[in-house]
Amino acid sequence: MDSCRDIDALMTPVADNEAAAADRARVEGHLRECASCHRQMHAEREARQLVLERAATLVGHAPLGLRARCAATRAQAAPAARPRLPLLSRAGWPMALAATLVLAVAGAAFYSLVINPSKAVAAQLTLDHLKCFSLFEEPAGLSPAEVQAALKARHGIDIVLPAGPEASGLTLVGGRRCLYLDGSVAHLLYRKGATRVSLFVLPTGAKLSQTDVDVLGHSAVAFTRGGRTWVVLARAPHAEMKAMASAFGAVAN
Amino acid sequence: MDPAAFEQDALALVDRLFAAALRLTRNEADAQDLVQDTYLRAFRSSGQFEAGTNLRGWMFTILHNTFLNQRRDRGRSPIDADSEAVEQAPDDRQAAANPEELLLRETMDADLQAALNGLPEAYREAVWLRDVEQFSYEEIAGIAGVPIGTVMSRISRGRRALYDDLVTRSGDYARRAGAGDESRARRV
Repeated sequence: MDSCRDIDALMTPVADNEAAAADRARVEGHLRECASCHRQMHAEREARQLVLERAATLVGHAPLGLRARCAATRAQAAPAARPRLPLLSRAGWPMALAATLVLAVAGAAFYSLVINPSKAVAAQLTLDHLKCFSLFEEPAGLSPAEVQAALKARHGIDIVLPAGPEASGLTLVGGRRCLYLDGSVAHLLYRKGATRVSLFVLPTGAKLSQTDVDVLGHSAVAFTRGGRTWVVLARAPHAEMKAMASAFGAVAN
Repeated sequence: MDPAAFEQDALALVDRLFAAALRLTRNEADAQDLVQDTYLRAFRSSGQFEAGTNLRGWMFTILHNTFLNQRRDRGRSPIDADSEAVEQAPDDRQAAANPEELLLRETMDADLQAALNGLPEAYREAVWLRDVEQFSYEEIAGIAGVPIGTVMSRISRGRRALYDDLVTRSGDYARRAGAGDESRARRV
């Protein structure tokens, strides 16, 4: 009969069903005769089975934002390889928005979305606002024509950027595509002095049920322009939010 | 390999790498730092990665090495279970009685996490890479930089220690619940 030491070295591949048939037979034969090794094998099999069964739960999900921070290390690793225009087609964290929305599809003849509650949307937009500014701002500024062309060419987002914000001190410093619902949201990043201002353009047909929402210390103001819903988001007083919305083309009531 | 494709494939592993990092560091902030550092190193050496080979194993190897480097840089004490003495130590624990082990499968996730965290580091990593990530012995040997025999020994001892810990924990429940009766034993 094999010694316990000989058998011990074979227990793991046998527990994993990876041992050769001859080795398995040796181990099984030994286990019938040796209570101590039998207990050890039982312990190994039980623990293995438990961890295997719980593997998905044990892995779970990385914290929100870690993926974006890891993606950003690519720029650190190879600055020369980074395109100047921070228009990225990466899908990722905005997808979580879908789970936060309550959708009501209204109208039999036209495809239309009413997004409710608006606060959940505004909260997600605020998170995107914070992340995108930390990762994708181009401090030197960008040409609106360049961003508009890139959004259309790379992502099929066909929008006309507002012409008037520069006159109000708003400088375009970034443009991205975020994936929301079943469509693409254009996310335009502006600076007004120290204030970071986001302008989101929702997919055609998507609407916010509330036009003014305060969430997470930020304000969001929604308006309709060119058949789409636009949302201005910043940490700014209400009067300034309205003024910026006007600069982006909102028509005052 | 196309940089965009590399980036996409590498970033798809972030949940798994974070989970493993959490198991190594046992601290969420350190785990996040470790994963970010891992990606930085991966992107820096992405030119060395051959398309079509094992990206997951490659990323976990970087995670392992980055963890060792970070700990060395931070001046923490070396891991006890890596010493030859521990590898060669007799494994003479007694397995638990039958009724208690039946409660093993009912162990709460918190207990399992705590029991995993209580394993010596080398065992913890080996069990995780094998039973959660399902790497082969050869892949684990490559990731951890140790012989296959050592990998199998670590897995074996890690599982048995995990079992002992869980049985001890579930034994507490068993005593409280009076769950050592035969009817329960037969049912499970």
